[in-house]
Parts: sequence; structure tokens; C-alpha cells
Amino acid sequence: MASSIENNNEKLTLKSSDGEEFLVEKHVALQSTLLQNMLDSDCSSADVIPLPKIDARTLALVLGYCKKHADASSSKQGELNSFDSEFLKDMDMGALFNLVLAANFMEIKGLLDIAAQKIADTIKDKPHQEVREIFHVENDYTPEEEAAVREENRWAFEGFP
Amino acid sequence: MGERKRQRDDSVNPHSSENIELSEEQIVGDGNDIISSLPGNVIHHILSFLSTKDAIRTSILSTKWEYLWTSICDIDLNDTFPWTGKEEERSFLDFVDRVFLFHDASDIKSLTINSLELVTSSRVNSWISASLRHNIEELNLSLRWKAQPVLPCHLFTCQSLVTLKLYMNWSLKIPSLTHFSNLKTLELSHVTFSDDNSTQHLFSSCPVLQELALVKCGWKNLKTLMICIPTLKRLTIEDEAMWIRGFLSCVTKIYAANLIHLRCISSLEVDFRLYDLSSLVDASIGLYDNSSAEDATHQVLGLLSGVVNVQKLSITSDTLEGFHYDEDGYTLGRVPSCFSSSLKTVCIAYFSETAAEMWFISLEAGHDLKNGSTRVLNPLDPEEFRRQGQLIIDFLADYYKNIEKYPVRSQVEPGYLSSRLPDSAPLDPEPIETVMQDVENHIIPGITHWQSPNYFAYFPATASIAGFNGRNAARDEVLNRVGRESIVKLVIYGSDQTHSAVQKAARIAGINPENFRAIPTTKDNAFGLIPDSLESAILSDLAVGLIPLFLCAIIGTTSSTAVDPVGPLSNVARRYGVWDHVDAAQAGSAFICPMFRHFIDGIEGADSFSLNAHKWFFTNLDCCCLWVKDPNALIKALSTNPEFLRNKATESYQVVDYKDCQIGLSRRFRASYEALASAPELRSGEPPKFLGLPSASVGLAELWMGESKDYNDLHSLTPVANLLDRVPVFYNMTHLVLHSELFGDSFGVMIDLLENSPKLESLNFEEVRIYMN
Repeated sequence: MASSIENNNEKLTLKSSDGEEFLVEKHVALQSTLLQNMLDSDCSSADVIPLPKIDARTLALVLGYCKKHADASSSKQGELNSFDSEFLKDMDMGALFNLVLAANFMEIKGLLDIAAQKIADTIKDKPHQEVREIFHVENDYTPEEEAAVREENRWAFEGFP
Repeated sequence: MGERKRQRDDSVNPHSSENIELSEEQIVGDGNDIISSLPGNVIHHILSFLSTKDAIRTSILSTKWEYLWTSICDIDLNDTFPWTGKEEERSFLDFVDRVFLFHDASDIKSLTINSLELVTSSRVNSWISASLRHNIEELNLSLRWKAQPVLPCHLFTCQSLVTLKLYMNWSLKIPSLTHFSNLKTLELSHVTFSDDNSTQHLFSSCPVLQELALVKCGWKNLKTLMICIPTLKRLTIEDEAMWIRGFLSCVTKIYAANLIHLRCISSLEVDFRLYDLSSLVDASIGLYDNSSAEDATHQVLGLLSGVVNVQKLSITSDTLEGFHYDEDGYTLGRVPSCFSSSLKTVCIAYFSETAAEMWFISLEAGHDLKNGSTRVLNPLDPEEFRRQGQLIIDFLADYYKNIEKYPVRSQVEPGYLSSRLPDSAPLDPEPIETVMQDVENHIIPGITHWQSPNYFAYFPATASIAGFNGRNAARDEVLNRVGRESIVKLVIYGSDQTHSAVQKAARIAGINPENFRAIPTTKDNAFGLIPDSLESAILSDLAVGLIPLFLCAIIGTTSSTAVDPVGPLSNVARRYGVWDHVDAAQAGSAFICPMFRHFIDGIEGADSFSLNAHKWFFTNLDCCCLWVKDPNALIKALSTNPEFLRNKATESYQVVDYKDCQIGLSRRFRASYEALASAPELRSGEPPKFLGLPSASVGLAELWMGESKDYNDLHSLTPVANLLDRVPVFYNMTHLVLHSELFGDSFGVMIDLLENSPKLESLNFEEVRIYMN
């Protein structure tokens, strides 16, 4: 992290899959372990760093998250928590999945955690029929197979239709 | 956010075509199954945020998901299998076996298994060994072994283990080669220790231990319990002292230079010796039973003089009474040094001017408390009542004055309050101001302000019948299996002491009144329901094609305060798939005192449990609390979903919709009010008040028994050892009601006694009613 302090004002350019470029302060970019490793391994910050798996809309969200977390001092944990919960509020499933993929690819642990938590909360306590509907999971079990899976794991299905 | 510059010039981007291809792959939304195509590590990450149950249930989504759950690192398996009652079906234990069989190579971080089924050592050891192979960090087993368990040796040398919690009603055998190199938390519950040496060996084999809890352990084999752990920060010793008198009678020596928190609930008979507790910050001490008066003073002073530097001390009134028995009153010469050195504030709640309390106040007058102040808090003091009352009225008036300033709808996420609650009720009383501040900060934002002039939504319906009923859930569960028309075959069981309310409720549920089995009880069994009698009643009903449905076991019947044996009855109920309800309406509040809890041994087997908070919990009539093991059963029985009642919060499954648990669509205000009201009561009322009332009542009962002992021919209905039984009869008793059938041969004697006994007259019954059958 030493480099981030030395070159606090340095900026680098990230490029989204759909070709949009983002100029980012280095200390913000360092929230991503992927970018940190790239910079540590002598990747010149003058280059444009392509992020071939992340579209502009998602990247803008990701960088918004990184900016907030890089700028907030650790003493403002409460503020960060409320930022995090606001951040994903009312986000549609598609955007949320793009975000979880981006966080995973860029190795931003905090963002990966809150996005995964949000998806988990959507699954939690719901009957599986409803989970299938929400996530468009196609049921490829035969009725017999499905009954067998259910019976084998009966403990988990107590109280569910 | 970083600056964003538009640069749509494709020529600067040599990879543009490839990029566009990739981004199209991940177009998400309408109709695509994105979640299944997430990378494996992301799916596992999502599963790690789910409960074990929810994670396993994903197996049924599609074939891809069948085994994804087998990598979960936190495994929490609680036995919720009962109630189907069919023994031939797969048991919970088989399922646990399966979890380990399928678990992939990844680590298991924590494992919790909680089961009521009897287990064998070999089975449990296979689980333990498997979790050790997966570098287990936290192991929490609450099991019932069939025979003395022999735990695997390599458990005792495990390097990955950080937390170990064991509940077992057996001896803990400590191998000579024991070394928990990373263990920080050790909690042993109901464990019997074998001897002094091996116990000391266990503690000295934990070089980094920070938390130690010994809950209701068996000490009978020990002469000295030596806890010498320099790294220890938190120590908890809890015992049910009163009922096992002399059980915890070994000398207990504690050396813990870094101890910060000490909690000690035990018998006054225990000889505690505390050494070198110079780091102690808070201590919470509750000593029960001051029967051996002279020793009591010695023990209390001994214990308190060990907590030299403590800054915060909570003591129960019983403990304070321990000062009581010094020859010269309360010799100031022997005041524990913490009172004059480090303690600054002492709060005496529920002040009643006992000699011990007055002595304590006199300490303050003599400036024995360093810069001290003793605050007396007495909820029954008229001036304090006036002050608190005015505070509440001000609060309410301000609320109505500003009502239109509040946003009409609740401003919080469902479930917000549970994360803001502390883990347990406070041990020290908090001033009413703090409680009101919390209402302002935490309750008001969650309220929908019905009274606001800006509120234009539907009007709250009146609820016709409050409360809900496990019986309906049980009925529906069975009827769904056997068909609705079988309702005439359902049978309900209780003892002949059972309150008429049970029979009435059975009729409302549509049960044939002839199918209520009032199983006869006898004086020999203290009028408790005998499990064998229940079983034969069930068998004879099954023989004629009836369907056993519901058992109502009672703790404290209305007619005779009899106590049914909860555990054994629950075993019978489980065997036949009968819903096991435990009705502790009368005596349930007493179980806040640890010493009474053995009356509900085996309660884990019950499907539902109820108690009346308006009996001993300082709550107004009526407030009946119902616990249900499987709330879904209630919901399935009573749920309806018309469009006008649908809302986001309920559909998110984050909140309990009480309309699904009862008959009315909304709760009567009183029902919610009582729940709210009992929270401040628990906080500002101070636990000793709750703990004190039942034990005080038992004291009264004891007094009465002592008085009536002179009359050789006065028969006690229930055994002398059965203190709780007597309490509801004698406490607060202004009416004496005698049923001839309860007394049998001795009935005449009772009448005689009543007519001729001056002592009984002095008890001032307002009314004596006699029923001759």
C-alpha cells in the first residue's frame, strides 16, 4: 500500500467491456486486489487497463463503491454501513449479478460480501418454487428425481411445501 | 467516483470486438438463469451467507445445484425431525451421517449438532474425526449419549480448534495427552468431572484460553476445583444450587490475573477462593440459599474480598443477605475492600428496607464507598411512580403534539430492531430515562403512525379472538395427511387435573368432545400424568382406529397444582406422532429462576410451550406467551392471502405476519402493548425482582408447611420435595377450595382440621368452599 501514499494524486485509466474509459484516482483503484496486484507487478499506470468482463454501467457502480470506501476513514464505520445498505437497495437482479461478478473479478472483498449477502437474503426462507421463479432456474429434475432429493434432505425441507 | 470520460473511439481499443462479445455473454435479466452460471466460488460465497437449512434446500433447484451445498463451511444441524413420529423413517442422525459423507474436501469452519435422539460414541466420533480432518475451528455438540462417551484422542490435541462447547450428561474423560494449543473458548455444560487432577490438567492444557464457562456441571468427584488460567478473560460458573444441596461443595480456587468478567451463580455453601484477580472490571454474583447462616457471611465476604478492583458489581439480594448473619450486626471492620476502594456507585433495586439493605446504606453514610453514592430505586415508591408517570405522559403528549411531523410509514427495513437488541437482558437496572431514549431512537422510527392526520390507509380491523393455538396447527397437519373428513377420529390427551379451558379449546377446534381423554391420576404420583397411562390410552385408541392428535402436559394444574413429567411424556408423544404441548400457564414464570428449571427437564422435546406472563411477571391480565417449535405449522393452518393484505415486508419473509398465527387480522393493541411493556419491565425491573418473587413465594409456602406440620393428620397433596407445587396454592391464597375427590379418605380429616384449628383460622381465608362429589 506504500505506493498509494506516495502517489496519492496519480490517476489511472480503466476501460470497460463496452469501451468506456474511466479515470480513477489510484488510492480508489487500490480497493481492488486485482488492480493492486497489477500495479505492484510493475504495470505502468500510464497504460489503459482493460476490464473485459465489466460493462460501463457496472464499472461506474463499482468505482462509486470504491471511492466511498477509499475516502472514508475507518472511524466512520457506521456511515459506511449505511452507505452499503443504501447502495444495493432497489437494485434489480440483473445489475446485482453484474456487480457480484465484477466484485469477484476485481477482487473487492467488501463489495463481494454485500452483494452475495443481498442475493442470499433473496433466497433465505423462501420455498424453492419461488426461488426458481425469481432467478429463472429451470427445473431439470424428473418428478421422481425431485422427490428423491427432497426425501434425502428431508431435514431441510421440514415446514416447506 | 473516478472521472468518467467518454471515449467512444473504437480505434483506440484494439480488443473492442472481443470485449463486446464477452459483455453480451453476461447480459442478464429477462428469463436467463444467471445464478446457476455464476462461478463456483461466487455460488459458495452466496451459500455461506445462508443458514445450513436454506443452503441444503438449494439442492432441489436443479440438477446443477444438487451437491453445491456440500462445500458449506459452517454446518449447523438442529434436530427438528420429531413430530412425524414414524420411527422406521430416516432419522436425524442418519442425515448428519449423510452431511459428512457428502462434504467435499473444503474446510469445515464450524460444526453445531443438537439432537435429542440417543447417540453412540462410535457415531459421534466419526463426525468429530471427519470435522478434525477438515480443520474444524468451532465445535459445538449438544447430544445425548446412550452410554459413557469416549471421545477420540485426537480431539484433545487438535490444533485448529478455537472454540469447544460440549453439553453431555456424562463424565468427561481427559486423556493424559491433552493440548488445545489454540483453544480460546471452552464451554462445558452438564459435564461431570472425574477427579481433581484430570480437571486441573484440562485447564492447564489450554495455554491461550480466554473464555471458560462451566454450566451446571457435576463436581461430586472433586475435592478442589482449581482454575488457574493466566490468559483467562471471562469466567462463568453457573449451578442449580438449591436443588442439589451440597452438590457443588468442593473448594473452588480461581487464579486468573487477566480476568475481566466474572459471573458466578452458585450456592452459598461453595467455598470460593479468588486469588490475583487484579484485572477484574465487572463481577456479577448470585449466591442462593443462605440456610447455613454462619457460613454464609463467611462465604460472601470471602468471595467479595477477592474482587478487589472491580468497578461494577452486581449482586442479588440473596447475596446481600449473606451479610446478615454476623454476630454484631454487620461489622464494618470486615467490609470487603472493593466497597471502599474501587466501587463508586451501587444500585439497590427493589429496596424494601431489609436489615441488610439498611446496613448497606449505613456504609455509605460512613463514607466507606469511595466518593460513593448509593441510589435507591424502588418501583413501588409513590414519588418514583409519580416521576416516571409524568415522564411517560410528557412523552405521549409530545408525540401527539408532533404527530404530523413523523413520516406516516415506517422508515426502517423489516428486522431492523433485532440487530439493535443486546444479546441478553441487562443484569443491572437502567434508569427509565435510558429506556425512554431507546424508545425514541429505536421504536418510533419503526412505527406506522396511524394517528397521523396524513394517514389515509385502511382502518385497523377489530380482532375478535386474540391469541393462537397450537391445537389448530396440529389438527391441520394431521388432517392434511389423513383427510379432512377424519376430524371425528382425532383424540386429545390430558390428565384428569387438566383445566377445562383445554377441553373448551378442543371443541372450538372441532374435536369430538368424546375424544378428550382425561387420564386418571393418583395421589401416589402427586397427581402428575403417568407416561404409561398415556401410552396405554393412546394404544387403545389406535386399536379402535382413532387418531391420537394432541397431548396437553401441564405444569401446575388449576385444581391441584400437579406437575406432569414433561420429558417422559414427550417421549411417548413423539413415539406416536402426537403434538406435545406443555402448558405452564400457571407456574411457567417461575422458570426464570434456575433452581426451578428442573421441572421442565426434557422440554426440548415439546412442540409448543405456553406460560402466562400475568402470573409472576408483573404484567397485566392477559398476556399469554406461546413458543412454537415450528411456526410454519401455525402459519399453514391459519394463513390467508387476499390482495388487500399483501405487502412487501411480509413477502420478503423478514417479518412475522401475526394475522397468519391467529384468528383476527390484526392484533389487539393490548397484545402488542404487553410485549412492548414487558421489555422495559425486564430492563428497569431488574432481574432480582423477577428471581425474587417466585423464591419469596416458595418461602411463604415453606412457612405455611412449617406451621401446619404440627397437625399429624393434615395431608399434603404433593410431596414435600415438590416445592413449586405448593407455591401457587399457598401464595396469595385467600380462598381455600377443597375437592372431596382429591382428598379421598383424608377428606373428613381436613374438614375437622378446618373447624378446629386456630392456626389455620389465623391464615384469614376470606372464603372456604367445599365440593363434595
